[in-house]
Order: sequence, then structure tokens, then C-alpha cells
Amino acid sequence: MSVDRRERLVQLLDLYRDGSLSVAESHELAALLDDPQVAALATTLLETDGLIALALDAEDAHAAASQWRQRLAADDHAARFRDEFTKRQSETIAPWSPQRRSGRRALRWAAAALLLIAIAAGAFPLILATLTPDLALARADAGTVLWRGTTKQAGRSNVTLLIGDRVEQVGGATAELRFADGSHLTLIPGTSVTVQSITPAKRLRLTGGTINASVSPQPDGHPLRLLAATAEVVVIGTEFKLTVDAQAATARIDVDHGLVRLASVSTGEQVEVAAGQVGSLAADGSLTTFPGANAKAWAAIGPFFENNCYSCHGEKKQKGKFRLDQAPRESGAPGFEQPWSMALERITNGEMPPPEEKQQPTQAARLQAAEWITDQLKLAEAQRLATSEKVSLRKLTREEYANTLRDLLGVTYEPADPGGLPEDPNWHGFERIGPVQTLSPAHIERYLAAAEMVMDEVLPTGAAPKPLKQRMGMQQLRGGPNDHDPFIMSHARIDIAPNGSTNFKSPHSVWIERPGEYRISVSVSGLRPPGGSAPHLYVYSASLDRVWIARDIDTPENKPEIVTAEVFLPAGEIAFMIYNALPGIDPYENAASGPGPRPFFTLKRERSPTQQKLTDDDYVPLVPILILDYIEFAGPLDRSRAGQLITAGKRDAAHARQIVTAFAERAFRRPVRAEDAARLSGVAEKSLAKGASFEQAVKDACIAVLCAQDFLALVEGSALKPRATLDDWEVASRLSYFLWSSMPDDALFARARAGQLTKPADILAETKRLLADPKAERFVADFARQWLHLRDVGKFPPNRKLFPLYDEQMEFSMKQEPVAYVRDMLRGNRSLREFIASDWTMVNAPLARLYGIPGIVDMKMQKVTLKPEDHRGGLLTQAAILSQTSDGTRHKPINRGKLVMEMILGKSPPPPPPNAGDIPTTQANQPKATVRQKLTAHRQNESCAGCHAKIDPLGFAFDNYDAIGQWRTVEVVAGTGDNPPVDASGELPDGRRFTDAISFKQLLISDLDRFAEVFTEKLATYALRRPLGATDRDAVKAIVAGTKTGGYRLKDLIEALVQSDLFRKR
Amino acid sequence: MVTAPSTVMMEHGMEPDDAELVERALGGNADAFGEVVMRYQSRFRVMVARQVASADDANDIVQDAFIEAWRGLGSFDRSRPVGPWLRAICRHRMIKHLRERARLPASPMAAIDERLAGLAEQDMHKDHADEDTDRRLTALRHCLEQLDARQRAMLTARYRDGLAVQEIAARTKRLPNSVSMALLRLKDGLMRCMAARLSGETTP
Repeated sequence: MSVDRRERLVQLLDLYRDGSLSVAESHELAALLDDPQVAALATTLLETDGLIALALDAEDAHAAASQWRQRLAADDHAARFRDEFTKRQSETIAPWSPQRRSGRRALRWAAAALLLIAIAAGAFPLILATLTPDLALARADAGTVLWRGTTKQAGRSNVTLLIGDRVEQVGGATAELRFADGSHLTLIPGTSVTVQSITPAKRLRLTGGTINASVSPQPDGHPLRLLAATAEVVVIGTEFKLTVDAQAATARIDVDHGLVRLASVSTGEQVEVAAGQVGSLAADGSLTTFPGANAKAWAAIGPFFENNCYSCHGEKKQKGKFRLDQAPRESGAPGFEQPWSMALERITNGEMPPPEEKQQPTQAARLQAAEWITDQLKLAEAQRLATSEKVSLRKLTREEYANTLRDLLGVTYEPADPGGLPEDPNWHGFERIGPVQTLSPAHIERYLAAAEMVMDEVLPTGAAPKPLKQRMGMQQLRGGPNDHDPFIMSHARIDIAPNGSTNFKSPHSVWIERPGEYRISVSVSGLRPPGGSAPHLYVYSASLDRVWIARDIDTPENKPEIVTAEVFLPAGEIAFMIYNALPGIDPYENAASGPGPRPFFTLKRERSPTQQKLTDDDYVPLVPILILDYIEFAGPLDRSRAGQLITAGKRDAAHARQIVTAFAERAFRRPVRAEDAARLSGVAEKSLAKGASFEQAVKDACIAVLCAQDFLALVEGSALKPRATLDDWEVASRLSYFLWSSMPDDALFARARAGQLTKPADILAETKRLLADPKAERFVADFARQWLHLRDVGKFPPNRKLFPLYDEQMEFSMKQEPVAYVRDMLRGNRSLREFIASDWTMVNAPLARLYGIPGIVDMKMQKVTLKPEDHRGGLLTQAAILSQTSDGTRHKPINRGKLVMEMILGKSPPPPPPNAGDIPTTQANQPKATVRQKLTAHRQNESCAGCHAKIDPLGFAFDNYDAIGQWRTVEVVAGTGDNPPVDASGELPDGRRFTDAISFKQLLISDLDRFAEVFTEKLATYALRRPLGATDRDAVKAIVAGTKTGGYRLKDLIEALVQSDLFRKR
Repeated sequence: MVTAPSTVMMEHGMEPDDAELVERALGGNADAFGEVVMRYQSRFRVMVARQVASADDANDIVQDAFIEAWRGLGSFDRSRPVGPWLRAICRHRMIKHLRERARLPASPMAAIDERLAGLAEQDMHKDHADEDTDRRLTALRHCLEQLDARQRAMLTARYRDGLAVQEIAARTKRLPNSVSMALLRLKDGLMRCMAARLSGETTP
């Protein structure tokens, strides 16, 4: 086996295990595994994975045994909701995801059983010959067989048909059945029909195959019925085509005129299929309807497939067991994605039609076909995800989960800590999309652990913990001399120069006995040199990967400030560092004597030579100096809510029920149903009966509340009374999770309770209130992060040698800029045009240095007015965007072009073929060439040129910005000769030309309507927590149109969105 | 080979044997059954994890099997030893798990899962399957000890904490594919080391 295939196999297996395999990749994996050698290797690899997992799983038999007990005890509430949730999830998440449990299998068997019964019944038809000429086999050919009892006749036309007759079209062309009223059915080969009733009711059973029907209007109460094993079609008068696949137990009906009712035999469900629609019955008995293929679009694109594919993958031959002619042509049809994504891959990489085939399509035709498939696949995916069930569950993201706990109980929970919740999967950057979220048993246990931990803080039981209060000063932080006078040492301070830390970049640690919230206090002075920036205190925990404190300190030497932060700390050893996070050279690191502990007292006295470098002779600081006295950890803080949660009353089961129900109402964000109240208070009652204290019993029930799906997910809709719009409670939650990333507050709940969230004006009033609240900052940060993929900034850390300016502070600042930008856009209600181009942006000291903007000295983000020579403005020229589209050493015009396409134009380019090469780096002895020049060479390859002609120019426009977003006019590259100059000019596919990023942005602005639609779609995806489907397009257009006169202002758009029907739609 | 703990304890006369524990458990004593769980679970986890390829899933399966056994204890034939009975439950659970996974519609791994289930079924009829796995596991533990801290951290992140390759890539600031490759190299090394140790064991 080649090394490449082995590596690819490993990558795909990893993706599979992580549940992030794409459709195309899943086909690729399946194809690889067809090879028995590969399958054997995969088996060995998986076995090894299992062994390693086990060997690393430090086992403690006693702990494990008690785990079993807990599990048994938790079985009642945890396992039950897991099953419910998984069941629900299995219907919405991708079918190839390993999290999906098979629940539908049983249904499918049920359908098959029905089919068997049907076949058995059909084999012994009751022959009630009534000798009526009302139905005839009007036309037959050599392929037509008529069965009457056990006798058969072949190829005879004009035969009067009797009840019990069976007509089979086994080969030949077609046969036609004609009723007296002129209705006729055409049977295509492979079709079998049994006559069950002729008059007055017409009833035929279709065991398999396809019939085209043209049915005259039928008498009232006596429609024509077509029965299949799993489907029943009721026809009043129409033209349609019905196809039944007996083996797969599926059926499909294409209606040309009139109206047809399609019913599922196994579920009793019915749908009406109108003209131009297709009705489909799946193997599990579920029904869907979707628009029929756009005949005009297919007429344009269909011949490509007919001419190039069908000869090997059609009726006659099915090479590789693949048939394209039967693949559905409608993006809404079930089973659309699989065959077409396979075809797309083969067509784009030039594998199909095979190169040895003489007749080859042109590159333009290939591209057109690839684009059509890509568009349809995108629609199909969105449609699949947007299809709403009776009840939709949209799990809270882990940030929302933590926010909700904070707003509900006043406690801090850090889901990203080790042992916390896994990172949420995202859909085009959006983390909160219901249908792509997953829930595995491992999740449930983490939720359970989190609920227990949180409730331990809120309702502490048992002895109060011994509080920790640990103060670390000079001696503990910088170490050394122990022989000094303790009094003197207690006055020693720590001086930290820019880019310096308390302990020469190695971490300190604190031991936390009990998890909980702790107050961190730092006593510190900060001296700013004349005209310079204030020192920046940065306290960072390396073991938790979390910044505890980051702020400028500007206080005199003799008046230290006490900076505090309240943070959640898990048990164990916590490593942290204290920096003066500004660029500079730490004199201690370069001191000839090497770094060592040096007590510091004041700048105004004699100091060590290193310390002297910090000030001039008049003791005026030369650099921003941080002077630290101590850091102190105190906690766990008392977060007990016993007084609030446990109201006064008789400490019995009835009172427990009151408390638990009231808590559940807030946690579930809606009134609690009687059966839920009974189940939850049952937990408390059981605990009380076992002799637990009242507090413990309430606590047990509250843990159950926090593990319920109604808390963990936004539940919309009702299984009993299906409805298309949200109720008031659901609107309240949608609104608060949109704008606050958390639960509604009391005022919003009050509105919901009073039924005052139905009218657009009411929703608008609440929206204004929510936006004015400080919690709206969560919308700013979360939306910016997800929309602009800020998670990806720093994913490929730039090479420090090539980009010395890039460090952690820079990365942090890069991520801050778009967030601060969106904040200002929102607060100023600015036009979306300013997302594309503006004469301002938000910078702090590192960014200003990167952009070459003078006079910005602090770490705080501040608004600056831009001049043309700054070459900035809008989002596209922000460092966060420019660097996330680079690979750490080089900028990537293709990625930049793709980002512009997706973010501004709302299009997805077809994925690159798997065999697409990388752009080679230049060797030292070759002439220097820009990435653009190399890409141009790459495009000589005709199969690449088509797509790249559309994508690349959009990226070339930003060639004046390097891999971390610095402005440049020449591209610094390896090789011989001068560095080549940058060429940022280009031409859009429609022929409009631009010379650089500025004129390119102007072209984008001229198409602002389009961007407004794309942006609104993203905003709505975020707010509604689902991808938008084809049916949502008009609603988006209406929202956009309503804000056009104002120039598409951000706040206007939000307000228009929340007042729209779309927002209240499920 | 793992010595059956019950025998050891009987010899020392300290602990009740399996049958006695089952007797007590049947009387409603969950602690007694907890003792049975403790005696058998690590062996079962080894057995299951080898085929399920995920410690989380393996733990789930074993725990579920014990819950099933506890609930079905009434139907247990007390004249027979409890170990094989528990193991059969556990195996059935595992095979069911693999079969279910194989049946997921359009699962690219259906063939592999079928194959793993088939192997598990074969193992059911082999007497030494557990000991074989135990030996491999012992060899592997030894090989793991020879890794440096960084390599161990990576394996721990992936296989014990169950981080996705994407997450590891983000944390270590590498490309997901290079994380996959690094893991593969580690795995290759471990497989070689394990094979060397095992062959060393058999050829004195």
C-alpha cells in the first residue's frame, strides 16, 4: 500500500472518530476501505487506538466501582434524557455521524414487513369477475404480461381487465391501461399493477416500478386510489408520475397538474402534492415534499450528464455500481447529496469522463457542471438542516451554557477548563446551529459533573471548607535571599520592565484544594514614561489557558492600586504568570550577571545596575515600569444561594416541590408542565424518603433540572400541537440568546408571561432594551467571533523569524479589532458599507505598530481616523482577516478570494479536487517570484483555470498585505534577484477592473445590496440558530429592502430582523 | 495473565468468593455487587476497548453491561460461575454496539464495524482471547513508559481526554493533518515496540 493512501486513511479515520467527516470524505473513506488490505490496516489501527486508550486510562478499581453505583443511581434522570435527546438528535444530525444511533432501523423493518404481507395477499387475489368493460389493457407489446389467476397471456392489446388481474411490463416499451372515463396509466418496464377495484371506486395496487398517469376528474367520493406496500396515492384528477421501489420500500410522485394526496401506510401521515411538486416517501414511512426540478435549468445542464456520464453510469451500464441517471435532480430530494457529491469530485479532478475516453467535454462545460452541482449541494444541505421537526432542540453552546448558569445562579463555570465541555462544532463558523450539534454519552456525564459542581457552590452541604488565603510577594514570586530581615523583605517589591515577568517567563503555581470561585488581588503600581504608554499588567494562567487580568496600570509608585478579578479555579495545581505585556527588552534577561532574585524597594534610591536602566538620572521612568507588591488568592468565595433558593416554609415534600418547580421555570425558560414538575419533585421526594436533609433533597432535584434537555437546549415547538410560529416564551429565549447569549431576565420573562411578545412593536421595545444592556457585549463578541471565524486567527502561527512583530499580544490584539469594530458599528448604528470600507478603525499599541499608525501607546482599543496612506478601513484589510487567510509564512490569495466570495458575495466556490497541488516554495537558487506569479503558472493547467479565474482575483486585490497583514509594495521571497513588486490589480469575472484593494472595495460597495442580503442571512442564521433554506430567501429580501433607505444600518437591520415574520417563525 | 482475584482472596481467607457475593447481591445488597464489579471490570474493559477503539465507549459498554447484569441477576443460574456469565453479557453488549454502528445509514465504516464485530464473535469462542489482550496491554504499558513527556501528552490528549484532532491542532498550533501524522508515527512506534516485546516473550 502506498504511503499516501496509508496517511490519507489515518487522516480520514481521525476525522471519522471526531465526527467531522464531510460527505465527500465519507465517500472517499468508504472507497478506500473497499480494498481488503486497507480494511485490515484500519482494523489494526482501531484496535491499537483501543489499547492505547485503555493503557492511558489510569484506572482505579475503587473509583470505578463507585462510578458504577453513581451511574445506576443517575440512571433515572441522566440516561432517560440522554435517550430522548439522542433520539431527537438522530433525526437531525448528519446520517453518517457516529453519534447517530439507529432508531429508524426498526421502522424500516416494519415497513418491509408490511410489504411482505402485501405481497402475500396479492398472490391469492379474490377473483370477483364482474365482466365490466370499464377498464382495459388498451395497448400492450411483447414485454407485457397479463396474469389472470395462474394463467398468463403475453403481448395482447385491447383486453378487458377484471378485478384480480395483474399486468406486468417486464421489458419492451410501455403498456397502457385505460378506464372508461379516459383516464389512462402508462406502465414503463419493470412495473407491475394489480387491479383491486374498478367501479365505482378505481383501485390499483402497484407492487413496484413507475407509472405515468393522466387522470380525468373523478366523481365525488370516488377518487382513483393507487396503493403501494407503504404508500397510498389518492387522485382526484391530475397528471403525475409515480415510482415505487419495492425493495427499498420507498415511493416518489412527480405531479405535473392538479393535486394528489400521498399517504404513508405505516404512519398514517398524509401530504398533498401540488403541481410542480414532488412527494417522496422514505423507507421509514416519513413523507416529504419538495419543488420539482427546474426544467429550464436542467435543460441547460442536463445534456452534459446525458452526453458524458450516462453511457457508463446509466440504464445500460452501471460501472462501479453507480447510476447517475436515476439520481434525483432536485436539491430538496432525499438522497440528492450522495451521488452528486461523488460526481462533483470526479468531474472536478478530471477523473471523469475517463481521460482515455475520446469525447471529452470542454473545460467551460466541466466548470458549468461543477458549479451547478455545488450550488445544488449547498441548497440541499441547507434544506436538510432547515427542515423543521415538530419540536426542535437547539443545544446551548458551551459559552451560552456558562452565561446561563451565571445569570441563573450567579456562579461562574468555565466550560473550557480541562474536564469541561467539548468545543462546539460549527457550521460555516456559527457554533450555535442546532442540526449540526451533537450529544454523546460523554457529554451527559460532563453536564452531570458540571451540575453537581455548580450546585455544590450554590447549596453547600457538609462542613464549610477551610478557606484559602494565599498571598505571594517578592520572596515567593521572584525567590531568593532567605537571610534578609523579614521586615525589610516585607517591603520588597518586584519591578517588571516591558516584556518582562515576575519570574523570567517561568510560571508560578498555586495549589487549589477545592474548586470554586476565587478572588485574585494584585497590588501594583504602574509608571508611564513621559509621552509613552502605561505598563500593561497581564496575569495569565498557562494551565487553564485563560487570561485572568489584562489592563493598563497608571498609578504613582507610592500609591499602588489593588486590581481584582473573580475567577473560577478547578482543583489541583494551577500555573500562572505575571507579565508587563508591552514590547521591549527585559533588562533582567540580558543582565550580565544573569537573571536572579533582586529585591526592589523604590526607584528613588540606590538600585542595582539593571534597575538603574529603568530611569534617567532624575528618576523619571524611561520605559513603562510595573511595580508589583503581591498577588493574593482568596476563596472559595461564598456563592451560596441557599437563602434565595430555599424559601421559608415547612420543610416537607410539598414545599420542596414548590421550590423545585419555581427553579425549573426559570431554568427551562417557560412554565413547567405538570408531568415535569412531578418527575423533578419526585427526585427530591425520593431523597427525603431516604433520609436526606431538606437542602440535599432540593439540591438533588436542582441537579436533575440542570441536566434536563429543557435547560440544556432551546426547545421550540410542541409535539402535541404542531405550530409554525414561536410562542411568547420561545420568543423571549430566542431574543435573549440572540442578543445576550443567555437566558431572559425577569423583565423579559414578565413580558412573556403577560403574552406581550407577539406584536412586532413589543418585540422591538424589548430588543432596544436588551441592546442597551451591558450584556449585549456578548452579542458583539460572539457574533463577531463566529461570523468572522476569529477562532481561526493564530491557527497557523506566523513564523517568528519572518514576522518578528507577531507575538501573543499581537494575536490577542488582532482578535480584538473586529470585535471592537462591530461594537462601534452597532453603537453608532452605522451602514454596512463601513464593513467594506471606512475612514476609521479600532487599534491598540501593537496593531498601530503593525499598521504604521503613530501616537497610539496603550493596550486599550481606541478609535482612530484613517488617512489614505494608512491603507486600511473596513474589515477586509484588518489583520485578523488577512492573517487567518495565510499559512504562517505566506499569504494565500486563494483563501482570501474564497473568504471574500463567502463573506461578501455569499457564494461558495467548488472545493478543490483532492489532487490539487500546493504552490511550491522557491529554492534559493531560483529567480524570485511572487505567489501570484506562481499561481499564474499553476493556472496554465486548464482544469484549474476555470475556478481560479473566479476566485483568485478577489484575493489578489489584497496582495499588498503580507501574511500578518502588514502593508508592503514588494514581496519578500527566497530566491535570486530583487524582491518582486506586488501587483494587486485584477479583473472580476464580469469584466470590471480594479488596480488595488481600494478600487476593489469600491467595486464591492457598488454592489452593496448583495452584501446586505448576504450579511442579513448570516445575522439571521445566528439569531435563528439554523441555516436558512430556499424558502427563507424572500423574507430576507424583505428585511433588507426595508433598511435600504437608511443605507443598511446595523442596528436597523437587527431591529428589522426581530420584527419580521422570519424571527417568529419556527 | 491476570490471576482471578477471587481465588487469591479465598486463599488468604480474607474475602468472600464470587458465589457468596452474588448470594448477598441477590438479597438486595448493592455493595456486594459493587465488589463483583470491581473484580471484573478492568478485565472486561480491556476486552471491550480492544475492539471498540474508544475508552469512553468501552467504559459505557462495560458499565451498561453491569447494570444489565444487576437488573437481570434474578435469572442467573447460581450453580454456575459468575465470571463467564458476566463476560457473555458484556460481549453481547459490545457486539450489539458494533453492529449498531455498522448499520448507521451510509456509514463509511460499516464494513470495518462488521469486521470488528466478527472478530469479537470469534473471540467469544476462544479461551485465551482475554489473556492475549492482557499480554498486549502489559507490553504496551511498558512501551508507553519509554515515550517522552511531549509524546505522552499528545497521546493522553487524544486517547484519554478524547480531544478531537482539530482541538489538539489548535492547542499545539499545528495543522490537523500533521497532528494525525504525528499520532500515526507514535502509533507505529508503539506497535513495533509492542510486537518486539511480545515476540521476546515467546522466544526465551
